[in-house]
Parts: sequence; structure tokens; C-alpha cells
Amino acid sequence: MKRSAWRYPVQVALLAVVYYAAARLGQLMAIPPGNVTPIWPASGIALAAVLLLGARIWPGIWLGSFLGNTWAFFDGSSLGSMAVSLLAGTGLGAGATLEALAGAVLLRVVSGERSPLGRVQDVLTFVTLAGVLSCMLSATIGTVSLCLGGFLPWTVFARTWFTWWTGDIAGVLLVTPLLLTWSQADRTSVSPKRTAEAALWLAALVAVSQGIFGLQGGGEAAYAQFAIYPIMIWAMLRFGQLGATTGIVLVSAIAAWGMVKGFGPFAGSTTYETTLLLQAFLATLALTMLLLTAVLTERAQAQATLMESERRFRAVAQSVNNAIVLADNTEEILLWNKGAEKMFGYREEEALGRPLTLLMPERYRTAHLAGVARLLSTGQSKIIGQTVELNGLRKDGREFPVELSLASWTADKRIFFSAIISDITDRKRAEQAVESHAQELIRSNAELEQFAYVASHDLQEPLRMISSYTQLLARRYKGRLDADADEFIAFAVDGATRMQELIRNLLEYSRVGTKGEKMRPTDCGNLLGRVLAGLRVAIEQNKATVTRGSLPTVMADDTQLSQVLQNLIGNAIKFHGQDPPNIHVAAELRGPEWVFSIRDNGIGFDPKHASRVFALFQRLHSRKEYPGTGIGLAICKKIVERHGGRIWAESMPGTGTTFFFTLPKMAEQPV
Amino acid sequence: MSNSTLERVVEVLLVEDNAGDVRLTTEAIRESGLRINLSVAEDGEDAMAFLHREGRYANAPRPDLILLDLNLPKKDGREVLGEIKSDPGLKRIPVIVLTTSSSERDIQMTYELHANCYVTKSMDLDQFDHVIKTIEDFWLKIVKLP
Repeated sequence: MKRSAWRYPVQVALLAVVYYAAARLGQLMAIPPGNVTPIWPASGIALAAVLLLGARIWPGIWLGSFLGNTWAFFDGSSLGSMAVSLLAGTGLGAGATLEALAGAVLLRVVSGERSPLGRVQDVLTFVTLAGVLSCMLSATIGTVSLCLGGFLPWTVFARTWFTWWTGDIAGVLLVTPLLLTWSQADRTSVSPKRTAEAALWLAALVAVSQGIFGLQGGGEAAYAQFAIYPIMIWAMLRFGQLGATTGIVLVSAIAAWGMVKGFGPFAGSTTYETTLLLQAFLATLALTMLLLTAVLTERAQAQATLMESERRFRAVAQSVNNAIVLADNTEEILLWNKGAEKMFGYREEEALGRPLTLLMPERYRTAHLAGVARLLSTGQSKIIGQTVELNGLRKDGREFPVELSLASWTADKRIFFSAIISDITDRKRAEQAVESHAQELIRSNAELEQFAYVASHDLQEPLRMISSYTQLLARRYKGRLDADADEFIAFAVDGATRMQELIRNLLEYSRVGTKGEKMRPTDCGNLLGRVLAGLRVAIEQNKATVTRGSLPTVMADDTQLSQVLQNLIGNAIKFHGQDPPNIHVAAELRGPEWVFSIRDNGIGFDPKHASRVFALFQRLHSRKEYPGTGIGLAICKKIVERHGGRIWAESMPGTGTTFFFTLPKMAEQPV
Repeated sequence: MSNSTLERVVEVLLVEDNAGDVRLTTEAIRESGLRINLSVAEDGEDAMAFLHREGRYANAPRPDLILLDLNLPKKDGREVLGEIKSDPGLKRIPVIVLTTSSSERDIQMTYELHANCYVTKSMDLDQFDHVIKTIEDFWLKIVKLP
């Protein structure tokens, strides 16, 4: 807490000090008559400070500039001249601060948070916006302040402005990159070898720079300045941005020192023309190095990205279970992953360079080659971009079913194919098993229905004999034998009658499957009307009320569907409680299907019997309580299932029962 | 209404292989009190021999009514029906198909073969009696046979 509270004022103060020192350093090169210097490193420090620490650091810039400049031309001779000096210093400070802020804002707007040195485009943005454009601010405000304050005659305005401007640009181009680079430099330990190389390079740089810029009386030395380029390129190639920016600043420092001391190609000391030459040389050097470094950085980044993506692709390709095979238009295998090794049995070195046809059974090869030829000549293919199922050929000669996804692309005028292959042996086996089970089920169902139909038909004949003759017996001999005989005959008659009923039900049940009509669009509302008409007597006798919601039109065998409704409503009437039956029929669309419900207020049943009620001949009550064989709901279930639906019941004893069944929604049916 | 058919014995041919049904029919006719002479043929060939008065049926009477079961050994009831209805000498005799089958297809087909009516044998004895009685009332009392 305390530390962060102090941090900001300390940063501001430090910046002011550094700026002040840089200003003083710059003023060593000041050119008469305006005390304007050809390289103004302070402008570069100010911009770097704003970029690194944020805009709020601005008071440090202003203070540093104010102190540094006022010191240079402070006139304490009178109170008036003191005030003027302070005012001019304030103006200069404002110019320097605005310049740094404007440069930083323009950079952020155009290049965002990216480093201004990482890409060629960003370097150009940096040079033009933060350099050329922003530096006009300080040059203008500064020169105007000096002229207004009377420190400069207006006659030298243009020349002063221009030197100021170019000096600030030079400061930004040389110093800001250095500070940005060092502030972001990797601070992990450096190998001794690299340290040695850095030292060697430094020595070379100093030696060559000294050689160029330390030469006495410079005429011929003008050509020597190009010798600095190899050293700079060394720095750039071996030490990247750090080397380049450091080298630029060192060379600039030595060159400027040489110029001030009257050495080197820019000797002739502090005339306007020589400073221009120095500026031009350093600007060219800096711009070249920054651009080249950006190019290298971009390339290195692209390469790193590529390598990362290649590494990722390799990892994926090698770790998947699928076979991944790559080939070109010569049909040669170019890539063979671990999955392919396992699936086909060829090791990578065995597969690479072999034709793709190696992997397919003989019978596919002609068609495959024709397909490739067609693709090459017309660009058309039947299977590129598709997933196809065919057979693969293992090294040991065994065939196995595969699923193959093929892709193709063109690069450098070569066509490449990639295949992702899955072994679908297990899936095929499972599919076949399911298929044969389904067939088996269809057959056994058909047999069962046939059996039920024939059995119930053929059983009727002998049963009719038993039934008829026991009835004849009862009719003729009742009361003529003893009481036991009468009872026995009664049981035989009753048994035969029940058996007839059961057989008739069984026949009816088996007919649901064998005698079904075609499905047609059926208006369930109309259907319910007909069903209720059929149940009119039962409804009136039991004082039942049947209400209904709106019912849809569905695909159905109307005879069978009406049987379902009749059975369910019939049951609801039959199993009524104390109150007269109150029955509600409704349907609701849920997703792809209609859910029909028949709700009653009858006696209900224990939910544990909810599935038992649908079984054939299952009853929850004795025949004395409620007559019936227990076929009705079994028939409902069979009919609903034949229609592709489900049936179930929800019930509680005493509160009533709701039967639900579903029917698929008709296709293209507006909801 | 004076009805000449009541004056004489009515000849009925029952074509039925099931002895139980033959007996039931006999009993039902006996209980009706009508003067009916019931002849029985046990299969299709037997029935045709009776109608054509062949072999042991040389002196067989010409039936006034035929009760025909569909499921017969040797010659099926459907063939018998077809032959009767295509024979100019026999086609006027009313044929009542009596069967346990209630299948639509059987009903359709027998009417196409010019059966005079189709009756499903009932499981219930009272109903069976009723059917026989109704047949007698209609065909032997109301309808004037040729």
C-alpha cells in the first residue's frame, strides 16, 4: 500500500531527473544561434516513458524539460527577464509533454498494444506518427516560445524550427526503441559464450566507430561511415532488436561526440550543414536497422508459429487411432502416422514412397486410378470431401472394412490428398448383429401372429363341440341327474364359454398385426365422435360425462385407433367409483409426437401395476367384480405400438386414472 | 295361407364331415317339429354323388335345400358350391353355407359362387338352434321353392 502510494511521485521525479540530464547532454551539441541541438535524446526518453508508464507520467516530462531548458537561457538580470524566462520554459515544457503524449496516443490508436518495433508496418507507423508528425508539436511550441520571449529573432525562426524538429525526430528514432527494447528484454541469465560474443561485438563497434568518427580532419572519412553497417548487421542478426537498438545509440553517441570534438566525417564542427549530414546518416541507419529488425522479427514469429502448428499437427496425427495418410498426385505416400501403422501393418519406412493402391484390395484399384485421373484432368471427384465405406487391405493380406474421409488441395501446383481412415470392423459386426436380430424378431413375430391366428381358428371347432354338447346336456338332463351332476355340467359350460371368449380375444389380438389397414390421415375429433356414439348406451346407463380438448389429425388405421379410444373410454366408464364417471379426452403436441390422454375419476389402481395392466389377459379384479378377460389394454398397446407410439398409465387408487398414448406428428403438419 | 311344401316331407341334404355338427343339426331339426327328411353326405365327393344319384345314391331324393359346410375332406365345400351352381339341373336348389369361418374373404367368395346365404355356426347352442329354426322358417315356410 505504502509502496504503491510512493511509487508514482518517485517515478515522476526520476523521469524529471533523467529528462533533465538528457537535455543537458543534448545541449552539449547545441548549434548557435538558437541553442537548438541536432539530436535531442530527451524526446525519445519522454515518448518511451509515456509508452511504458502511461500518460499520467507527464508531469515528469514537463518538469524535466522546464528545468533543462530554462537553465540554458535563464536570464536573471531583472525581475521582468526572469518572468519571461520562466514563461518561455513553461512553453517549452508544454511542447515536449504534448509531443510525447501525442506520439503515444497516435501509436496506440494505429498499432494498438503491439510493440512499435515488431512489424514493418508498425515501424513505419512509429517513424511517421510518433516521429515525423508528433515532433512538429514541440518544434513549433518551443520555437514560438523562444521567439516570443525574445531569446531568438524571428528571422531565424524557420531554420531553428527545422533543426528542432529533426533533432526531436532523431531523439525519438534513436532512444525510444532502445528503452522499449531494454525494458522488455529477457532478463534470464545469458550463456558465457554469448556474453563473450557481445563483448567482442561491443569492442568491434567502438573500434570501428572510433575509426570512422574519431578521425582527424575528416574529408576522406566521409566514405568510411559505411563500415559501420557490417557491425550493425552483426548486432541485428545475433542479438536481434536489443543489439540493433543498442548499436544505433552507441554509434550515434560516438558520432555526435566526434562531431562536437571536430572529428570524423561530420567535423567542421557545429555548422548547420554538418549537423544535417549527421542527422541524415543516423536517421538512415536507424530506419534501416529498425525495418530490417522488424522484418527479421516478423519472419521469426511466422516461423515459430509455423513450427508450433507443425508440432501440434504432428502430435495430433501421431496420437490418434485413425490412420492418417497423405499422398500427392504421383500417388506416393508422403505421410504415415502411428494409427496407419497399427491399422495396415506397414511401418512408416515401409509405407513412405509406396503407391496408395497398396492399401486397397485389387478390385478397387482400377476404379481408384480412374477416379484420380478424372480428378487430375477435370477437378471433379465423387469421393473427395465425402465419407465412404469400403474395404482396406492389410500387409498380411487380410481385408477389413474402413470408413474413409478424403480431402484434396493444391499447393505449389501439386495436388495433395489426405485420407483419414477408421477401422470399422467392430461397428460393421455390431450393425450386422443388430440387422440379423431385427430380421429374427420380424420373423418370430410373424410366426407368432400366424400361430395365434391359426391356433385360435382351429381351436374354435373342437371347442364348439364341447360347448354345444355340454349345453345340450344341460338343457336335456338338468334336474334329472343329481345336484352334483348339475353343478359339474354348469362348470363345464362356464369353462367352455370362457375359453371361447379367450380364443376370440386372442384372435382379435393377433389380427391387430395381420389384419391392419393402411395408415391414412385420420381426424381424431371425428373419430372420437363415432366412438362416443358407439358407447352411447354405456354412457347413458352410467350417467357418464365425456369432455374433450381439441384433437389433431394423425396418420392412423382409423378402425384400430377407434378401438383404442373405445377400449380406454369403455374402461373409464366400467371402472367408475362412487360418483358418475367424468372423463376427459385431450391431446398435446410434445416435440415430434402427440400425447393423447384419457383421464377419469374412477377407482384407479396401485401404480405398481401400471405396466401389468397392458399384459395379455392380466386382470386386477376378479371376474365377479368386473367382467372381462383382460384383453382390452393389451390390444390398445399392440395397436399403439403398430402406429409407432407408446402407451402408459398413471393412477392412484381412489383418485382416478389417466391413460396416455403417443402418435407421431404427421409430416408437414402445421403446428 | 296354404303352403304345399308343408303337405309333404321336405328333403334336406347336409354336407358335413363333423359328426358332432350332424348330430346337433339333427337334434335341432327334431326339436323344430317339421317334417324334414335329412340326408347327410360326409365329404364333397359324397355330396356330388348324392346329387347326381350315382352309385349307392341311385335312389336318392332330390333335395329341396342344401346345408353346406365349407371345410370338407376330399372335395372342398367351395368346389362343391361351384359345381352345383354351374350345373343346370342343380343350380336352382338353394344352398346355405354353414361354417365356423367368419372371414370376410370366405363370405365374399361364397356369394360370388352364388350361395344363397352364408351363416356362421354359433358357439352357443341356443343360437345354433335359432339359426336352424330361422333357416327352416324362411326357406321351408315362407319362400316358395321351385
